[in-house]
Amino acid sequence: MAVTFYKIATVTVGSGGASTIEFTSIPQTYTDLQIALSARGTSTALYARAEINGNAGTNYSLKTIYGEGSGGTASQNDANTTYFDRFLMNSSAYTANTFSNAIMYIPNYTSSNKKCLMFDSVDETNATAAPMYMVAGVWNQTSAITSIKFTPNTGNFAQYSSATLYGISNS
Amino acid sequence: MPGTYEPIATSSPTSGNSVTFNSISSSYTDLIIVSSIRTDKTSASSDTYALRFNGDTNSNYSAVIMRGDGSSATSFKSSGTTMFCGEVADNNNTSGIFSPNIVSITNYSNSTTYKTAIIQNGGNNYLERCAGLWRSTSAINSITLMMNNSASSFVSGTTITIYGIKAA
Repeated sequence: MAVTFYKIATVTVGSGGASTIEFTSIPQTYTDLQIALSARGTSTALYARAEINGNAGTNYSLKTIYGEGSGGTASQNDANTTYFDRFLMNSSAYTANTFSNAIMYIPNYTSSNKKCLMFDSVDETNATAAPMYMVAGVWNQTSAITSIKFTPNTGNFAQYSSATLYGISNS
Repeated sequence: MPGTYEPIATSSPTSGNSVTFNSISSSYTDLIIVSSIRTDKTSASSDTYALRFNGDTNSNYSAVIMRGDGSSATSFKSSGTTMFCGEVADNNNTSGIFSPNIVSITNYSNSTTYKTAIIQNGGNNYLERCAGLWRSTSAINSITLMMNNSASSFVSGTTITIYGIKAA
């Protein structure tokens, strides 16, 4: 049987940093998408924001479970925002050479239903506390997903930040 | 390096409340089941997505669940004749919303250990992560994905796919 987990594209940030990491012209030939993001900021960035198809409307909603290595867990609701913003980033003040990690899974990204997805994002730095997010999100649009753009909440992505987009087919 | 992520079977149910994948090959190392689920339930009772292995209807399943509803996080246990896989979207929820659900089962074909699963679920009301256990040493050769509420049926747009992953 054919293997059906393919790398579509990888973006690795160069020495000058980058204001965005973006996948465009995503092929419509797969069933699901998965993205692995490794990120660090050039300044005080704590989050990367993800925007689908260049849509900046209030069409993004998230539910998050949050823990940071001490105390209890918490949950947060972010409804009708203009991006998914729970992709953790290590700021330039964090332990050197540490990068956050996130994996996002998007089923049925070409369907005419609204796009529901999940991602986990972690920020371990060997510090006393480090956040971990588990997220379920919905992009409240029925368009097929053709592009995904990550933008730090402030500053740029630092060198060696990277993201890889995978396509998964069920046949 | 050879690729090792292969689709085994897929289903797009438009009715009924269970899907069974039989005769699962033992040639993989791990299994991953990716579902996008919505049911036709309109009552306020819970709508729990669950699974069974090898048709075992005995009380051999348990799970620990961490759940967030957007304002608080909780953790609880589930045990019984199915493995809890999450609360999923139904007709009480916004139209067009289907819950993403991923079940990862490691070393499913060994005949020595009990079988464990990690479950990620994104219901419209809850976000959940679960660790499940099936107290059987049998190799898994059949998996049934089902709604525990017998009054619930899958609706069009629901998809369930099982993938096999080889370590080498």
